[in-house]
Amino acid sequence: MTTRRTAVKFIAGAGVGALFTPAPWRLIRDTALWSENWPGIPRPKRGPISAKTTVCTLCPAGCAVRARCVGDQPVAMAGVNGGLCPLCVIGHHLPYYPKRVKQGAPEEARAAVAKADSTKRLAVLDLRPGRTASALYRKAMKEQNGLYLAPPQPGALVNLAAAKSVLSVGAPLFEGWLPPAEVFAVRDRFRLVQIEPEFSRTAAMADEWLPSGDVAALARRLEGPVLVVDRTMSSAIVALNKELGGWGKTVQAAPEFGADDLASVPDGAIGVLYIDESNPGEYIPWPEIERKLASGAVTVAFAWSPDGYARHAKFVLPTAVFPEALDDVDGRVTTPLMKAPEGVVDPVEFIAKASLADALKEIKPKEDSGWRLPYLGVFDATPSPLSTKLYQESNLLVAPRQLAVVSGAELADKVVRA
Amino acid sequence: MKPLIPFLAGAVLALGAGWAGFPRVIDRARPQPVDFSHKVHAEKAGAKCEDCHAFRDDGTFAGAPALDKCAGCHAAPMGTTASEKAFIDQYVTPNREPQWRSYARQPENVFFSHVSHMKLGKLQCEKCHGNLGTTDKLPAHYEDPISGYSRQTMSMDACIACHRENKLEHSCMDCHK
Repeated sequence: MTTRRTAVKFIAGAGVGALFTPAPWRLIRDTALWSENWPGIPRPKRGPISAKTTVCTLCPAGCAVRARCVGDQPVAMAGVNGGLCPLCVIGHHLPYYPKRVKQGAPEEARAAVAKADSTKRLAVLDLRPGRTASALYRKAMKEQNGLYLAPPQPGALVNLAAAKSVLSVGAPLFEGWLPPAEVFAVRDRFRLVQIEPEFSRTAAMADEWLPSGDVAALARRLEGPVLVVDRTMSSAIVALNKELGGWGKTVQAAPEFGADDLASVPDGAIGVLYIDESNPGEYIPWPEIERKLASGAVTVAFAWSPDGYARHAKFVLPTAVFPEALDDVDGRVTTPLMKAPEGVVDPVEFIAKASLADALKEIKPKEDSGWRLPYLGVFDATPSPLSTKLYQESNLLVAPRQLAVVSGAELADKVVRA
Repeated sequence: MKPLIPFLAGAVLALGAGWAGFPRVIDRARPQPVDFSHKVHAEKAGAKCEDCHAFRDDGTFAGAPALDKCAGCHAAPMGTTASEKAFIDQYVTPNREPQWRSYARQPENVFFSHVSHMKLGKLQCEKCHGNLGTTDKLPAHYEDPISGYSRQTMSMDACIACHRENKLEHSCMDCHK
């Protein structure tokens, strides 16, 4: 007679027996493989590989990029002049960013702008000044008595390759302040002294780390040419560089972007604010912007990520993202590597009613000068599309592939030598 | 002993089902679109593997040849076989690519370079693909309905065994980049 106890024994025996067959293990493996092919998971195409070159627009450095493409899909990024930073190495994944802004309401935004209080001023906040798009925004704002706003930029350009000694007063030199691949490419050519209370990653990689010290006295003792830097390239640091003879060699005046001073704009004066966040850069804390807005002001953010100013804007319009976007960095035109999805909005066409493509045909191509404007956007406290979190995630993703550029052995060697 | 009989019966049943029944259920035999003979092509046409399964100019492996390659010789029937006539009628004349089922396609998480194995490692095709190149009839393609890959796809164990045998690197990142 079959009892419950007999049935349980039978099931237990079957369970134990099944473990000694290929069935459960094969099912586990198959399920894992099946999950790789779920719809919506981007997969590199297979086919003939071609190489395309472009310029990275993810930070103002504008590194030259060679992309391996299968058909029209980039599948890997590499630097033309040495390595790339982690963010650009995975730049071809950005179009598939899960949180990407995909839909907007451009017609409603246009209607809201048309209805906005005409006694208030029109303004555009350009997070990446110095581009051809920026010139078009400036021209459009001038014609409409509007304001062209840009975040404060570092006080000087630096040329790390020209320095024999670098005295850094808390500047995160190895952490995105300058393009990491470029810094590592010339790392052996200069001695780095880091003055910083905390033992940061840059401090760990410096030849000498000092929690505090007399900057001027220390700089005069170092072997020249000396480059003294701090996080924002403040006027005091620029003056010290001039005194040390570095002007024109290791430090140079930052370009003028012709932006209006946000602080001098009366509170509540802006009726319509466009924010071009298609290429992230430095950020202005939102409370500083918010108090300049009139009651009921229309704010339109052009963004591909919902994490930046898009959180505060009334209208968020999707834009193309690297490597889909056409743009320029310091006179070098980026070539889109892939087609932008349907529905993206061109901020230049929307704001300035002009064609960026036509304007870019007019510019004269420039060689890379080697001068770099330090980049603070990655470390800004304001959450941004290139926030520290995303940057760190990208670091983790590509860490094994970056070992050729930033090898653990190389770093350990530098620390030991310090 | 008697109290163990239900337990042993369950175990024996599961073992039988797992070893004999499960593979039959999980591996579905699917025919290839064309009744192709490697043997005929090798013996009568003198074709070598790389004549059809070639490397592209960039060094990547093209896999199964495209219809253009076949149509280069078979624009009109070269023999009298029914399978050749069917191939021309169904694929060459309407210019329709045959959907070959790959016996060796690796999952997406595997990076395998034919060029490094063949040019640097000097491996012969037969080392991994067996005697497929000399068969008169393409073997059945057993497709796993869950994963979608072929049963014949080379497993990681086989890759590692060969690399060990030849004292080569076999770290995770070599294949799972």
